[in-house]
Amino acid sequence: MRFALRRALQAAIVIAVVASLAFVLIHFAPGDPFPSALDDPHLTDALRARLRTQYGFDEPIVVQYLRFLASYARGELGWSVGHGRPVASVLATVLPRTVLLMAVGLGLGLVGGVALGTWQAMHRGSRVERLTGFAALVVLSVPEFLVALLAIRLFAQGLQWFPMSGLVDMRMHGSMDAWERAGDVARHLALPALTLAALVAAAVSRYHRAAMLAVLPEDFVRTARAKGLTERRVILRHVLPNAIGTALSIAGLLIPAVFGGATIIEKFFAWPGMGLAMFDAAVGRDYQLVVAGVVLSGVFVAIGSAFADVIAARLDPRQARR
Amino acid sequence: MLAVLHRSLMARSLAVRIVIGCVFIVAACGRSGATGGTLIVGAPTDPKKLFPPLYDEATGQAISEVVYDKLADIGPALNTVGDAGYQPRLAERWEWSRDSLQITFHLDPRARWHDGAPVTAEDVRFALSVYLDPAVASPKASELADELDSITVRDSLTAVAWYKRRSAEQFHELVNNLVPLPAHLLRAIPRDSLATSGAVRALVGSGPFRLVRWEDGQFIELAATPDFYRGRAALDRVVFEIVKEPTTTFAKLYGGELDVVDQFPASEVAELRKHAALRLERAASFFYGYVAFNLYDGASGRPHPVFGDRGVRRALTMALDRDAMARSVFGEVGVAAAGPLTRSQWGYDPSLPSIPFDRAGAARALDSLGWHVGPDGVRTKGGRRLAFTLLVPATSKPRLQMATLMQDQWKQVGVALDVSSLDPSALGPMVVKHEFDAFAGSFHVSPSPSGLRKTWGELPEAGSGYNPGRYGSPAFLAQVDSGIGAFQIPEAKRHFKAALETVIADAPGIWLYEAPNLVAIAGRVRTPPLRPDAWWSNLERWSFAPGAAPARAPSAKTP
Repeated sequence: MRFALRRALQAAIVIAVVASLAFVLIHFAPGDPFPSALDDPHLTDALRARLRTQYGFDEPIVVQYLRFLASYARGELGWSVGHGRPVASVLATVLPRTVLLMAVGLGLGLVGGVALGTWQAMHRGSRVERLTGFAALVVLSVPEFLVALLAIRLFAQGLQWFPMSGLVDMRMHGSMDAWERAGDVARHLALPALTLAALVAAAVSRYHRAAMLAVLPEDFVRTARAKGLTERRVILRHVLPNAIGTALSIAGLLIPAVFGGATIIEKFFAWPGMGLAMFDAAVGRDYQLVVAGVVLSGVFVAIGSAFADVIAARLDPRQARR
Repeated sequence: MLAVLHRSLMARSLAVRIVIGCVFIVAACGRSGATGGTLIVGAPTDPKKLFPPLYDEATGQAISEVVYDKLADIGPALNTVGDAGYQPRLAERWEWSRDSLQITFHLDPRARWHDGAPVTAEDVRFALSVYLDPAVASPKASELADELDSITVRDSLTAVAWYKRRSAEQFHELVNNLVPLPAHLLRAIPRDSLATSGAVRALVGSGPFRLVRWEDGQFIELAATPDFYRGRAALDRVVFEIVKEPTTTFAKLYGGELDVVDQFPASEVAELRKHAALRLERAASFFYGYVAFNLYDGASGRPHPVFGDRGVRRALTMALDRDAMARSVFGEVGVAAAGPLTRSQWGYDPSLPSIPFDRAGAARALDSLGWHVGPDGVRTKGGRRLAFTLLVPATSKPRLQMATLMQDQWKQVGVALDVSSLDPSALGPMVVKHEFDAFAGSFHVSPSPSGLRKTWGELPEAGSGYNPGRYGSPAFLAQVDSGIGAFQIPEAKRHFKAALETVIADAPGIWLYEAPNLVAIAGRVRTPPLRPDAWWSNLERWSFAPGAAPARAPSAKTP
């Protein structure tokens, strides 16, 4: 309990510092949320000044910071100038989309990566093992956007198995019943989620394979085999639980990414989630949305790292004692 | 006898068939556009503001203008002088007072807001009060305030616009900038919170399409207004799908998932031509790119050591093959700008002179001005190298490409160009404070050439993005003012031509290109002739070719 409280306090301090830094940095960056006179010459200095006053951006940074703290203390996340509605409402729109995409993508990637790494370790040196290892390396080496483009070209344009992008079928979605709508979202989710899963699986499989290879020569594995257990049982009951810690730690560290979004994947598949919203907010100097995104991300980093610590402690009690 | 009777019956039968046939043809003609279907438009930006006083980019304008009707709409000739060519919209007719200081608009009694309430003269009066309210901070307020004194209500269907003074474009300024707003829905909302209220996202308009759903970052769905006073749109729905990644947009267009892509890039034209199911509409360009020379030394009042000399500016212009540059950047649709306007503006005159490309002539001119080639190949004069920095927004690919071409072409005449590519948020303040040598900018112009006054005429007010190089020619300004004040187009054109001749000869900048305005449209979509400045202007008359409308489930629910 004491440990948990200490961790919570540490996390709160980290989040407060990061949010404050984000607040200060974004306010000191050149520009503001309103288009410059070059983008729209109608937006004169006088009009910009009026808009800055309306949104309180003309006040000293300290006053704005205190106002920001007060609004967070009241549980309000502020107003998104870019979206023209409350930040909480923007996050409520984009976060579920990202959670859906990232949870499915990371979940499949984790399971696929562990399965592939396990299989590779069991068939070390085989031609297929070398081939799959090479494929994983290629996926890891190629930039994300190329993987996304290839997926679109191959599975959406070429084989036409999946829609190219978006969340739903624009023409038909309005006329579908609830089940059809769920199926429509699933169909649109498939390609970006599988692309993400491929990227995650490629990374996880490399680490997990190495972890498996480190455990396989251990004495307890030899003993298990000497007891006459089948190879499948040896792997599943004795090797995998001892090797999977690495993959789970990676999963814990990836949890914040679930909420931060994958900007490239979201952009190429027109999946308007957190990643794109945060990118647009940073470019457009949507101050309060940026800071809220940073706070949210900080919260999930804390949760993710705590999750990784707990998993590691469960798998290796020596770590809990340290 | 029988033969006669038979012929008579046959003739009657034929007549009956012809009549029935005509009835069917007429019926079919009456419903020629009524093919239904959903049109999917690929939108490159995610419009955050659709409320007429506040929208600030092209997709937002397109959506806003099909949801809200104006009092009258500009005609296909894009005339902005007087009211010639204007199409009645919410105003079925209008009358000018003898002194032209009043225009009386008679509203169409059939016009309704999307919630069923009638459109009234009070909505017109209320709209002006919203646009002009400083708390709303509408970017269109200054245009309206310059010309208009007030709007009064004579009766529920008659609004009278009162002007401060006569001007050639007073009608255009009013009907182009002021969109009637539903007073019965918005009046109770405090003005300082209007822009942030839910009511402005609800978009209850008076146009051919009404808002059904607005999913941030995803799509904006419109449905045909069922009882639209000018006749129901042929399409059932129009969805603006937001796809920010161009490669995804093209893949969706070529795969048939999108029907229209606005702002189609010139670099993709060759690929589009391989797809027989698509066609390319080339709309008029209202966007030109330029290089502005800072005629003064930084923000000071001293002449710039290089660009303060008109001869040097002309020589620099002469050294650039702008036609080749435009083709290099925009391919087959690339066109060099003729001056500080586009060919689509009515002030353009094909006989306008230009500074021709002549590299040898440019070199000779620089020699004669005392700029001689030094040992490093760069010209110098009195110890000053003919070298300068060009600021380019990092977000503009065409201007970055142009900058590279300029660097190469100027190098050949002994001019060293350093290209500084900056994020607009960093570059903007430098330009408006005139802290630059040269700046690669662009202007989005209206059909009227009267904008020349602000873009290259008057010295900029603090913080203005206009006239960044501070070109100030009394002769130019006088001709522009005469053009703006002229009430007949031929006279106005004469003055604008004289003004353009002056500014082109003075070369305060180099007008690089007219940005091609391309719209890719699926072949199955039938459109009336597109208005040059706004492809969406007759969207209610768009339809799918018979049998080509993408199917919609029979259980379709009308949202």
